[in-house]
Order: sequence, then structure tokens, then C-alpha cells
Amino acid sequence: MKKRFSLFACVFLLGILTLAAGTFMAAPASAEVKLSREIRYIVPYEPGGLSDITARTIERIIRQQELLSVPFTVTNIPGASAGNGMTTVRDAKPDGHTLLHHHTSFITHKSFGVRDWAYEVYEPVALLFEVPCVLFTKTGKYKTLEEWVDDVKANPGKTSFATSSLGGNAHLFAEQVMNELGIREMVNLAAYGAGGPMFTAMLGGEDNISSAPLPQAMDHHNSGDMFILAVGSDERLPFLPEVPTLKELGIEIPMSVAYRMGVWAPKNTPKEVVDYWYNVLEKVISSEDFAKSSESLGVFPKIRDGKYLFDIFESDTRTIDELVEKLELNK
Amino acid sequence: MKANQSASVKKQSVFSPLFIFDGVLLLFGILFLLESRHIKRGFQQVLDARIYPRVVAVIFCITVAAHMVKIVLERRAGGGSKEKTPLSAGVAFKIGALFALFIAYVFSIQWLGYFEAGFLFLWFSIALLGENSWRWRVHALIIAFVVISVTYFIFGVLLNIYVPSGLFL
Amino acid sequence: MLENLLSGLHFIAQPDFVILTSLGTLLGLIFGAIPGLTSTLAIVLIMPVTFGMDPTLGLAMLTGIYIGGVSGGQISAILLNMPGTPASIATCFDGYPMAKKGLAGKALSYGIVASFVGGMLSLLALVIIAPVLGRISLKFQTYEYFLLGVFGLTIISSLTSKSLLQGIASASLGLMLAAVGADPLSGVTRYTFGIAALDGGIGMLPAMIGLFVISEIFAQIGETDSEYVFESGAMDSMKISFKEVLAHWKNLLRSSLIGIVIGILPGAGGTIANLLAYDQAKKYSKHPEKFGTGIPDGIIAPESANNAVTGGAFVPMLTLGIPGNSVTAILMAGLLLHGLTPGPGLFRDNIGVVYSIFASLFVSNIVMVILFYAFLIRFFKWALRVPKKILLPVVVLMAVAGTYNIRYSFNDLWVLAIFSGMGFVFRRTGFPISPMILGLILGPIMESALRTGMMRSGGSIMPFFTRPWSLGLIALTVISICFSGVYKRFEERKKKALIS
Repeated sequence: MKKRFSLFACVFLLGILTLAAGTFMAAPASAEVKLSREIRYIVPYEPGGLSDITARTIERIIRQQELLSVPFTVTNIPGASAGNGMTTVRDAKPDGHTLLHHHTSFITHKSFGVRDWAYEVYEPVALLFEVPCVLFTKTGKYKTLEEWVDDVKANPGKTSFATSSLGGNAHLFAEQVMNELGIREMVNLAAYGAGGPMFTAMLGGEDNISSAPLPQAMDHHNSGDMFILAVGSDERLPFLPEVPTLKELGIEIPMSVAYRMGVWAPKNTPKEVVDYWYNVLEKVISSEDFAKSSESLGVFPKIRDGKYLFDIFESDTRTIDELVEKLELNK
Repeated sequence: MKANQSASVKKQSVFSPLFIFDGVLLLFGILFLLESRHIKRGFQQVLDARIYPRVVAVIFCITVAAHMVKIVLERRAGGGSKEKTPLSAGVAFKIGALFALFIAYVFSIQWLGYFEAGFLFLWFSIALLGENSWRWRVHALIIAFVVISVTYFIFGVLLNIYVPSGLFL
Repeated sequence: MLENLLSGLHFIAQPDFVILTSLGTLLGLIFGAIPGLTSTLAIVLIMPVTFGMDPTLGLAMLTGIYIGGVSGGQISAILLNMPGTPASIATCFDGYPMAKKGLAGKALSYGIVASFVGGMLSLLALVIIAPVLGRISLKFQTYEYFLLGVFGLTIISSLTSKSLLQGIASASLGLMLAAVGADPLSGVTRYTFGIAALDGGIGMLPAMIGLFVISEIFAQIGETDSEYVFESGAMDSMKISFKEVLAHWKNLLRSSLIGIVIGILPGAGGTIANLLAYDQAKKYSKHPEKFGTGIPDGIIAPESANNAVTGGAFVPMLTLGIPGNSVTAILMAGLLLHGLTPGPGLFRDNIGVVYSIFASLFVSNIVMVILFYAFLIRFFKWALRVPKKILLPVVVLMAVAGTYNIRYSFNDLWVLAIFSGMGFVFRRTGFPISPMILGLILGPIMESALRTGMMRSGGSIMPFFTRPWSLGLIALTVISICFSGVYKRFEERKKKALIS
């Protein structure tokens, strides 16, 4: 009896190994450019975050539509404020087999002095999508943004504003809004360092209001726990038609986009390889599958080429640097 | 651990290994305290990025120093804590050599690659831990080769674990 | 409720569901049992395979890996004195001495039964009162987290070490080392001594593998009297009677409860539950002096607690949409990839998925026991016939692969090397290691909790005393310190009485 059990167990083991091997080795038979090994698509953050989920959505679509002749694997290299993953791709062979999935934090990390180099050491490949920032509160606390402003003015020093990490895009967004409303000095800013503890605090009713990239707040808004008061994008969102934009509320801020997600290759990657990747990614982002996923995640697909990506990062850098200077955020 | 069962209690000078070890720890803590001067304060916080690590380092230094005082007092009072019996020279050599091999292994991975460096590490360390004969060294070579082949098959091929690539693999 | 339970049963009756869960559990057990490799790595590796599957099947497989990974750590803890995963650190304390006494089979059986009971009890808690537990977890905010950290560190430092001073020194060393690298709130680098390799900070896992696995390898080399790590020929029967297990019911219940509570709190986890349960078992035992010499209670407590964390860890993810640890974060990503949103909405709109998770937890707990007895222990008995001189270098090889795979950083390998040397010195001098590991885990959580709390209150410490839960934690800490002081004095008096 026991013998049979172990036999079963051996079969299980073999099963799982062939299963794994099958997925990794199965390569669709199409003659393609120069790709000889497996592709490592580097996400510089922990598994489970927005970067990871979007990267894995891309992986899923590439695998399901068999867009590549070699396996395409998302690899998380977190740590050191994305520095570990960034270094890995910077130092990889420039042959198109190692790519980086990274967003606007490139700029903020540099502006706040986390490190002195950023996106300029890479070959820009494509802009994938944009993510707006939103202001939200626990359902039932405030119905409009004005109610919050009134509450703040009635209780100076008693209300708090929750953001994830200091110097992040959501924090920058919060500072701009409070600065524009002229209430910065009356609010205690509570930075949590990560999204998880911040949402725990918001669900527990600790803080009055919070800012976050839309995808993080989206789930909680849909479930009815959180209520989105305003969105930073220029126009109302098609899937949140009832939420006003900041512009409509008379708040003009220079940097309203939370993230622009780009794909980056090591410097000196040949142009035809970059073009090849742009074509692959364009197929992914413009697919119906990605459109559906991005709607439920709360991101806006916007596929552009490497030059556009580089230019828009340049202009974002200027905007952010000016803001940091003006709001004295690096003191 | 068998070694500590045969621990002996004997009267020693105040500068026992334990005391010296505490001293090293204290030095370590002071080093951290000095380094804390270089921490930027961060921005927009009530408790800035410098205070907390500094407080922790101070607590560490105080407790270690207090423990040193305690050792001295205990020794004065005639008591004494147990010290482990020292390792025999042969064993100490083996442990030291293996540690050196381990460091060399970690160091060489980035140039040789995980499997290549692992093969060398296995060969040398198995040879080191076994008997001192050429026969065993050849055996160690074969064992290392077999183990690395199996690991390569499981990690590199089947599970596709991402390990540093190197000269050949 | 009944309807839903029936839908859960419906999953259990599907052969592909059971097979995939079992496959996952087996993979988890293997990864858990090999020091250095963790279930997180296994889940990340298998994740692409689950893309093509039905979401319930994919999640079932990943859940199986999680349960297997937590349970597998005890094998190497008991047989090799090396925790297979961080969540089995305390299992070594009594597991290995018991195995050395020639009772390895019994030790493993106690561990397996305890794992099973812990896992099932936490599953029960998850099924029955998940939403209630979710609400309770919201009572624990920044102030409470900081105090919880202080509480955990004080009881670990007072109970696991001979001298309280050394315990606190060890814990604060852990906190200090945890501060190396980027500051959790503003990203300012600290304590790097100008070395770029330290910018990434000191990871808990590389440190743990160095302190407990590699340094144990050095210690094993020091034991020259045996060719083998463990004489597997001397393996006793694995049979334990129902009565023997039942005798420890209090311990099982208490430890499982600790595991469930710790599991619910986001950011805590198996390692803390494992250590805390061991300490509490020692505190409540009639013979605390026997702990560490190889007694069943010292295995039952940590092993039931770390498995009890599994059910609890699903609570914040399923009810609040906030993952409690790295494993549930990845599982949550799995849900999102399939277009499912965790949180209260999941209970309302996709209750089927929730019950499929319950069902896979149920199945993998049972399969875990079967695989253990049928396959894993045999394999390890066979593997332990490999002489020490070959086995130990191979373990080093595995540990290095596992460490590198945490975040693909060479710096982590240096951390591993440094901590393995430190671990060896600490062992020789008797400096306590567990408080330091706990300090390393809790450091970032405690620091950001304290600083966030201060930012919110504008610098006032009043919230610590005006919030009911935090006041309770302060009281608990004070009582616990007084108790351990009284207890130590009592022990000393007893010893003196024995001598005279």
C-alpha cells in the first residue's frame, strides 16, 4: 500500500516537471528576428503590485497569441527603490533579450536624490499606458471635495492626508492639490511607505482623505469601501463618468498623471531590435484582451514609440523638478 | 551540538573571549552611531529618517556595555559563565577552509556563472571534507560533476530558475 | 451558507482540481524542505503555468504550493537542524534534539499532525468568521503595530536567552541592521558606510539562511564523530497514538490561535508566529526547563502555529483586498490577472472563487499529510544516507541558488556570506540569534508604523494611550515583562534549592 503511494507521488512529481517543462519549452514555430534565448522581462518591484500585474498581463497575451518564437518570462527583481532591477537591465547584453518595465518613478527617484541616474542610460522602446491619480475617501465621510476642504478649515491640524511613500507620484499629487487649495499647513500628512498599510488605515477610518494611482483605488471604489472624490486626468474617465476632474473643480495642477509606463532596453540595442519589440508590444497593447484588462485595472493604453517616450519623460522631468523646487519637497 | 556539553567552568582573566566578543559588538555599535551622522534627514516628517536608527544604535551600545560590566562584576564575585571548549586545530582548519571556499564561490559566481562556480566549489569542498587521498579527490570530481548535472537539469531546464549565467551554461 | 459549502464540496469532487492541488502541495513541500528555497519562489515559478488554466484551478495549485511550503520546512529543521523556511526556525529548537535522541520518526509525526491541526483550525476560522476577523484586523493600525513589535521583541528577548541584556542587545542589533539601506518612508539611504552594495538593505531571508543554515553547516563539520548528519538507520517508528496527540490539546489550541491571530495582521507572518508560539508554550508549560532538550511540546507549538498562519493570511486579502504577506500578494495578483477583484466584492459577486480557495486549502492540508508519509520522509531517509562530506556542500549550493533568487542580487550573496560567519561566531559565544532575526523582520514594520503615526498625530504621543487596543498592548507588554522577571527569580530560587 505504502509502495503504491510513493509510486503515485513519483508520478505526481514527473507530472509537474513535464508540465513546467512543457510551458517553458513550447515555442511556436515562426521564423523571427534574431531572438535566440528566452526573454527576461524585468519588473523592478515585488510580485503583486501594479507593475507586476500589468507586466504579467502582457506576458499572458504574448503567450496566448503566440507572438514570439521564444518564451517570454516576467522576472521580478525588487529592492533598493527599483534599483536592483534597473541595474540588471542596464548591465545586460544589448541584444533585446532583457527588457525593463518601469514608469515615472525613474524621474522622482532622481529628483529626490535616491540615485543620480535614470532613464537616459537606456534605449527607449515604447510607451505602454498611462495611469491617472485620484483623491478618495472612506465611503460616507465626504460626498464632495468641498466638504473635505471645509472640514480641514474647520479643524486645522486635526485632519490627516494619507499617501504611500514620500516623494512618490501620489505624494507629489497630494502636495500640488493642497498647495493649490492653500491648506497645506492645516493638514497632517501621513506617509505609509507602501500601499498595503495605507489602505488598511483608510479602511479603518484613520485618515480623512488619500491620494493614489487609480488602479489601487479602483477595486475599493468598485467594492463600495472607498469613494473617489476627484480624478487628476484632463477629462472624465469613461468607466467612472460620475467622478469630476480636478479642472472642473477649479484646481489646476501641472503634473496630474501618476505614471507613464515605458519599456526600456539596454543602451546601444540595435535599432531593428527596438523596432521589432515596438511592433510586438503594439500588437499586445492594441489587442482587445489588453483593452479589457486595462479597463478593470484602471489604466489607459497609449502605445507610442521610443522617441515619444523619451521626449515625454524629458518634459515630465522638467515639470517635476520645478515642482520639487517650488514646493520645497527636497528639504 | 556535542561541543557545549563538555563545556568546562574554569576561572579566567577578565579578558575572556566573551568579553572580547562583547567589545567587538560595542565597537560595531559605535561605528554605526558614527555613521548615523551621514544620514540625510529626509523631508516633511515629524520623526525624521535619522532619529530612529540612532536611538536603536544607542540602545544596542548601552545593552552591550552593560553586559560587559556584568561579566566583570561576575568574575570579581568569583562566578564565571561557561565557555565552550575550543575547536581542535584540524577541525578549525576545515571550517576556516570551507568558509574561504564559500567566499570564493560567492565571489566567482558573477564571472564563472552559478553552475560553473558551483561545480568547482563542490569539487574542492567535498575533497576537503573527505579523507586526504588522491583517490577521494578523483571521486569528489565525479560526484561534483554528477550533482551539478542533476542541478542543471532540474534548475536550469525543468524549473527554469534564473541563476547567473556564465562561461558555458 | 450550506449551499456554499456544497459548492465547495463540488470542487473537492473534481479530479483535476484535486490533482492540481496535490501537485502544488508536493512542489511546495519539496521547495519548503530544501533550505534556501521557499514557497514564494515556487509560486513565482509556477505562476506562468497557471495562466492558461481556469482561475479556480490555477489558484488551487498556488494555494497548494503555499500550504506545502509552510509544512515542508520542518523536515530539514528536525533532521538537519536547518530550518527549510524561516517559518520553521523554532522547530529546530526541540525537533533536532529529539531526532538526536533517536526519536526522529516521532518528532516528524508530531510536526505533521500539528501542521495538519493548525492548518485545519485556521481554515475553520477562515470559513466561519472571515469577515469578522477582517474587521478586527482594521483595529490594528500604526500605533498598535509599533506596540505589537515592542511586545514581540521583549518577550522573545526575555525568554529565548539566558540574560535579558543579551536578548535586548540581540534584538536591537536586528533593528539596527534592518535600518541599513533605503529608509521605508522617504528612500534616504542609511548606514551604508559609503558602500553601494548596502543600498539595497539587508534582506531577512539571506540573513536567516546565513545565520541558521550555512553557519549550521560549519557547526556540523565541527562534529567529527559521525560520518552522517543523522544516522537514518536509527530511525524509529513514526507511529504515535491518538492519545499521545490528544495529551497536547491545550498546546495545539493555543499555538493555532496565536498563528491565526498573527496571520490576520498584514505584514506579520509565519516566522513570528513560529517563534511566539514556542515561547508561549514554554511559558505555560509545567516543565519549561525541558524545552530545548527534545520534547513533543516544543515541536507541536511552532509547527501548528506556522500552519495556522495560512488561513489567517487569506483573511485580509479576501475580505479587504490587502495582501498579508508575499505569498498572498502573488495569489492576489493571480486573482487580478483573471479579472477578479479581491475584497468584499469577491464574497458578493464571486463567492464560488472564495469557496474554491477554501476547498483547495482543505484538500492541500489533507494531501500534505499523505505526501509526507508516503513519499517525502522516505526520500529524506534516503537522502540522509549521503555522507556529511557530500551532503553539506550540496546544501550550500541549494542555499546559494535560493538566496540569489529572492531578488537576483549579488549583494544578497554577500549578506549571506557575512551572516553565516556571524552566525558561527554567535553560536560559539552563545549570543542569542532569534531576537535578532525577529528584529530584522519587525524593524521596517515598526519604524514606518511609528513614524507614520507621529506624522498623523502631528508629533503627539497621546494616541498610544487613548486608543483602546494600543493601551491594551501597553498593559500586556508591562505584565509580560514583570511576569518574566518574577519567573526568572522563581527559577533561580528553585535551582538554588536543588543545589542545597
